[in-house]
Amino acid sequence: MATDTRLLDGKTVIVTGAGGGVGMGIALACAQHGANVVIAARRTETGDPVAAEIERRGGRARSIRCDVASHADVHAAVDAAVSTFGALDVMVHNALAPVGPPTGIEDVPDETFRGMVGTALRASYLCATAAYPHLRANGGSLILLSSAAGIEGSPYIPAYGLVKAAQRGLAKSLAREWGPDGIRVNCIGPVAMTPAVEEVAKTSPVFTEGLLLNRTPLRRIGDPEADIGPVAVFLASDLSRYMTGQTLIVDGGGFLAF
Amino acid sequence: MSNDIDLDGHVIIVTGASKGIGLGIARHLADLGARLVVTARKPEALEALSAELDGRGTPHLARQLNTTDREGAVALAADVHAQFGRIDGLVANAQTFLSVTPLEEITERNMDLLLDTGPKGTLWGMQSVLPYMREQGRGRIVTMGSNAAINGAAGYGPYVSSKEAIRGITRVAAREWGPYGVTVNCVCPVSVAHRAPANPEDDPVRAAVFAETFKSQPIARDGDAANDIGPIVAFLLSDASQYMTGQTLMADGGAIMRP
Amino acid sequence: MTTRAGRRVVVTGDTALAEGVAAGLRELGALVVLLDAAYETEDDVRAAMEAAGDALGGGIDQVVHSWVEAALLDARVFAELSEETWAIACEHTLEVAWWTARQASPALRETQGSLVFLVPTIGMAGGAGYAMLAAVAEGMRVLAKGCGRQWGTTGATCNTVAVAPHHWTGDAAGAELTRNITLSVPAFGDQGDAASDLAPLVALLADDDAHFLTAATMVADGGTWMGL
Repeated sequence: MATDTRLLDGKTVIVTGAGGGVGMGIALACAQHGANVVIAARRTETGDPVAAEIERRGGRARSIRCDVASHADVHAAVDAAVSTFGALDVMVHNALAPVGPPTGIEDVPDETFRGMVGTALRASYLCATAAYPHLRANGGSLILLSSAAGIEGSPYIPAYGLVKAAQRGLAKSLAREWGPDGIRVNCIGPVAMTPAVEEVAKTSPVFTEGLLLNRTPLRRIGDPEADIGPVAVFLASDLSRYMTGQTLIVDGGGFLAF
Repeated sequence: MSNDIDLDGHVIIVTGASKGIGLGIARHLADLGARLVVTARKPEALEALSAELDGRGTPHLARQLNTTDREGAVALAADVHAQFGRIDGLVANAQTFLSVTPLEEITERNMDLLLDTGPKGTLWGMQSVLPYMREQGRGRIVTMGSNAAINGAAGYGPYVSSKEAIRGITRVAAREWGPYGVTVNCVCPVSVAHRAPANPEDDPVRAAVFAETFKSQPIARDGDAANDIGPIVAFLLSDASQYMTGQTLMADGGAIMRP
Repeated sequence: MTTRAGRRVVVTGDTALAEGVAAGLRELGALVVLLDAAYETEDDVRAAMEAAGDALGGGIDQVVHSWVEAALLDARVFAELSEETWAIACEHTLEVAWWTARQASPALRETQGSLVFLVPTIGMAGGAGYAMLAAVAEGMRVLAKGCGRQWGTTGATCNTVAVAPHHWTGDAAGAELTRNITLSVPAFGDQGDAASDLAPLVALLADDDAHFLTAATMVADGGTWMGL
């Protein structure tokens, strides 16, 4: 007897920042496993094509414009999921403002820091609280995209490390607080080649000096759909029913020291 | 895109498969259509498992093997490859247990037993499958750690030593074998039903201790070996985890949230 | 790095923890300025740090940051948390930590000094009812790692001391939080008096002997949580 090939059949998933990169990879992978997917991207120009691609492949999707730091937008995305597909089972918060180039902490522009606070901290609060009643009703799960930088810190983009860490502290606490409600909360720390990472790769020694690849046993940078997506599917599905409060580092084995 | 969690036809070795967590994992993998290689120390339990797998129609090979038997592991891997043509995964689960003993009373024999069956036995199993996985350019190895070991449970010195050593070997193997396409990850389960009193009335004190253990964790129950631990192991054996290696996955209902 | 006598230390925070650490450091010979105000802007933090430096005689050897917004000290049902409270309590506390690291940086780099973040262990372990405090704790701890890494060649260090949550939440809530993150009793039986148990460890981090310790986390909760 083969495994059930569609692990998210009948489930509805919201993915923020799904207009490209890791968010898109996760959205496509969830759709491949039968999920109805709400693409919550900052611009419909990027979100709409992803929804269209899912439908082209035979899945169900809806695109909605969503600024993740906006209470109204996040709640509208949740409402869209429920009104279009009847429920919300999984909230994946992935969107993030630009992290900027490597900078000393004293020189990080305010705008960069604000972007981190808004899209990682405020947005996590908004996504979690807006989704909560629905996740509770369905025994659903919350997935936050964090990073190894949220564990080991970043000498290049220190504000990024700070907020990615804060998200983990939040996730663990919500896992404890919402465990009795049947809601699981986990994080993923991916390394994947995305447009945002390509930008960082231009100036960060992590890439320019091959620091990242040198420490990656699998000798490649991840693909959002083939490498990161399936891990999100795992966390969203019943396969991980006995896991909560965890961070899965999906980086080809680069970061093991924890 | 093919189904990522599909293990249909995968050839997977599970050591210590005749009872406890190993048995649950073996059953779950059988459900997923894997072709199993199951080992155990004692022939009766192994025969019972083999009969069960026959009943399920699961292609399998059953071998009586102690994990301390390094040559036996090598011979087994050769036989597996001869029979099935490939080796896709190894679940290095076998491990001797030692009941609660204060550290100051631990003997050399105690340590030898746990370290021989745990980290050394795990390594012999890993070594035995590597040549085949390397040639295939793909392999999945799942080692077994323990939630109790990460927490340093008092009274479990040798067991904790063994399990933490296994996590160390897991990371080294991940680094060394990653370039070959072999991923190596560790699962730390909590699933104690096979140690709990079968009938709570028989041993109410022990039953109470077990019940208390799970109260304060987010998923407030013991892990079911087949349905809770099994799927996590299956994930690590599948293509879905192809970009994860050297990792420790807690399968413990959120009891421990490592930094 | 300096000897302990006359060491110039700034401690931030308005809890018994901050007061206790300040008092303990004074016992060990340090000159201590306690900044217990809440700061609205980065400029406020800069001004306060400058004034503290002046009061200490023109330099700062160590900054010990423990300040959190008061709203983080109470247990809250996360699902009922207002956005305003989240912003004021969680985001602003992290903002102040960020500003403090930035504004302490010039002074500490000059003296090859020590920045220490004091956080509750629930940042690493998670805390039901205290999600904001846990988020803040973990954000500060990893900010410390980033700073430690960045300051590497300057000789200034940045570390975190993670202590029992009761220092922020009070004894009852602290005991409940601890019960849920450990399966055994604390090795030392209690979880630390700020002045006599924690201050010496903080002082150690500014000693010459600790010049090679940076971006590290020291768990000092009497052997309660061993997840690190």
